[in-house]
Amino acid sequence: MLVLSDLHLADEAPALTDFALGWLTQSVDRHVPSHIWVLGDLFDAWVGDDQIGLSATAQRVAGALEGAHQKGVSIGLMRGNRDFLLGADFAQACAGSLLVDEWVGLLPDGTPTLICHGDGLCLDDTEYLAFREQTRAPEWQQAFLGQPLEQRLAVARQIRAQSETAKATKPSEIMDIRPSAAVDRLKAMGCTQLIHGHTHRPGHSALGHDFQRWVLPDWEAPAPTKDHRRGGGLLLTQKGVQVLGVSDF
Amino acid sequence: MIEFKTSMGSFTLTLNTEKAPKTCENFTQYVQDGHFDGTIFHRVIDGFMIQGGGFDANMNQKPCRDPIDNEAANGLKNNRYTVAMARTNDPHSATAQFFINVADNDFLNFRAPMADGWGYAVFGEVTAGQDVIDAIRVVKTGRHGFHQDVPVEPVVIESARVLA
Repeated sequence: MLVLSDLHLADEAPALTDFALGWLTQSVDRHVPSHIWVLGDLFDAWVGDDQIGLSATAQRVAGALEGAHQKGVSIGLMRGNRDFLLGADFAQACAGSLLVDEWVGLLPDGTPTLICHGDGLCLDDTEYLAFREQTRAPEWQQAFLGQPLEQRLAVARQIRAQSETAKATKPSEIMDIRPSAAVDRLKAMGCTQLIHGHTHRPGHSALGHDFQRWVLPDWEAPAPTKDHRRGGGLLLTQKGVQVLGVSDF
Repeated sequence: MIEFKTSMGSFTLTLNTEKAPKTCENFTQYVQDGHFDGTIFHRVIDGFMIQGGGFDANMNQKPCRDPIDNEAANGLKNNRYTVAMARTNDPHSATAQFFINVADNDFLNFRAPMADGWGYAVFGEVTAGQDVIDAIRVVKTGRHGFHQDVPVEPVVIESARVLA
């Protein structure tokens, strides 16, 4: 299984889409995964599945995932905090299906694992959690999706502008998951391992004594001024968790 | 001036060639080429706009020429009964599809020449047959494949002609 997240693809940044989809196609050919799971924030913003009609990027992504599906890969899409309105229509365009927000199960190597986007574990970011509660309510979503596409895009622009301002003033301790919350959740679900994205702080670390977590990298288009490339994913096999980087791509 | 004859009546567009020269030239060319004949208003949202000029009654897209520059920074506003060019998220992607505003849609107006702020280019207005626009905006709509807000009974543009 190949998992990745936090690509934040957008029509304004076609170079990032080139980079990410190129890497994905190459990884599918190289590792032949049984599944590709995108664990949220595939898109920088998503205001409804009708956005696919206006977005060349969305069409390219659907095409790439559908292409992988034709090679025998199952496609799963988890919703993130930016693309929480990703729906069944878009998943269908990718020849895939939507994943639940919190997946619990045994990985190919037998480790009981909890997989999620990660925003739900940021319990110290009360401002964000309030927004999350509001926008996950079915009534809110129905009302929002009832507006014309252009109006939803205008609203999304506004929200993003406000969020950027707020982020600049948030202390970095808030901007990570609350480790105790993660441990509690793992215990409750009978898991010993957590895989998530969202925080843009990739790595592998211990959680408490008996638990471990893997955090997926976020993506950034390669630039001549930057040596270090951001992107990649994790390959989950019978031998365990393998980091797939982008430095040789 | 362009006269549109539709399955629900006729209306006339007066184009503002001074404020949107490239858009008007592009649009008039499509009219003269007969492009709009047989297309439908495929996206109708009451209180917002009616959009057409791209698909035929079977929802097949008609081929278009190259996209044009976005002339939205011309001071014209997306007010009721104005006509503007539809496009994708790419600011300069307009080809043939147009829409007629049925409300004052401020959020569609140009704000800044950046990806998010380009707005939609207004290039004229409905100067006759506004009642036909008001009849079209209230038709029953539904889903058609990935398209939403599609009139259940096709609203067909039978012909579009330049008036002398």
